[in-house]
Amino acid sequence: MSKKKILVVDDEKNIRTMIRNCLDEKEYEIDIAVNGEEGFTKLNENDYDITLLDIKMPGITGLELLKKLRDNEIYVDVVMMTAYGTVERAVEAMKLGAIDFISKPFTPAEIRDIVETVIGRKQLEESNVESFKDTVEFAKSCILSQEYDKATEYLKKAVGMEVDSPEPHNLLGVLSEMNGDKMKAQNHYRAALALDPTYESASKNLSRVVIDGNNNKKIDLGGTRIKKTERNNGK
Amino acid sequence: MRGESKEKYIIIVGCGRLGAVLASSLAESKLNSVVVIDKKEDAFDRLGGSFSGFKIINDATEIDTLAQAKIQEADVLVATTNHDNVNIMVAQIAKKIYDVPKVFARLTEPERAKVYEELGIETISPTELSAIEFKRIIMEYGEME
Repeated sequence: MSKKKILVVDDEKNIRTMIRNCLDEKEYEIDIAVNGEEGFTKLNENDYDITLLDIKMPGITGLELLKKLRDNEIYVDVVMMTAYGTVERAVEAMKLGAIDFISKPFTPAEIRDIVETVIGRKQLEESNVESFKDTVEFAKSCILSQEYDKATEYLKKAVGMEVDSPEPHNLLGVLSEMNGDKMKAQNHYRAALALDPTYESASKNLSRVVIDGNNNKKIDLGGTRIKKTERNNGK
Repeated sequence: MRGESKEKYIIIVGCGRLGAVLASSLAESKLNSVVVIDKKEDAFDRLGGSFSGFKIINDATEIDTLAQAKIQEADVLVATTNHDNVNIMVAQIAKKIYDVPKVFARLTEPERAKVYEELGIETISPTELSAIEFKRIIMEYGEME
């Protein structure tokens, strides 16, 4: 199997080095760009399987680069790396076809997990969707291709498959927010929190919808959450 | 991260000379993910260009700062500031609230070690370590003579 090509776009050298260290060089070919301008040039000239894109950079920001890529019909899969503890302007990113977020600081396991998930999602076909994880990932791919009704349908299926998982409820909340239905979004976030009161993504989303009443900041898609049980198993 | 994995998620509080050397050294291993916290941005200059970890500019005695550092994922926390009271407070939060498996605190006044011990926090006193090493060298020198 050929190596997957990854472009890391981040102005901080320590982060670029850390990501390079995390990913197995036998499986991945890592290229780097030190700012948005260089990132655009490289993405315009080469084919990459994924790009890991820092949202906050001097010059062209991650979000601006994402928009520029889409304007130029470059549809590489993007993982947005967000500032410490926050997921900002995710609705905009999602509309531009970026649904995967990882918040700094991240662990090597988190970065590997998200890269594997994004690559795995690309290989997912509707006819082969069986497991809960595949169903959620397929729903995410529907969101990326702007098939929101289909995404909702698969998220509802996911709810039925694993009734105690908060993630599909959280994503249904995000979709409701995108449709402008805050009440419905609140209900979904509350459902997620009822299942897991420690689910931070839903907690942040609910606080924002209820207290801030602002749709355009800090939507948390909860994409990089690693279950406590998996952590305890040394994943 | 917590568990049997060889990879370690390490938080270092304080980027003074000790914190910076420790952070840089730990980050050299591909198996470690290192996060350094310090209130002063220029403190991170001590880390050097090859440091591969995360920097958080904030006050580590604030719970929000520790949450930003994802303390709930941490395998190890080391409090290395020049202030014993800060170190003990951060170490205590890490141990008691977040149940971090390994918590170490730097101790500038060795006579306070007992307080830390009662809280279940391991301490390292650079003063004491230096004294022990000096003594060892002096004793070896005597034997050689």
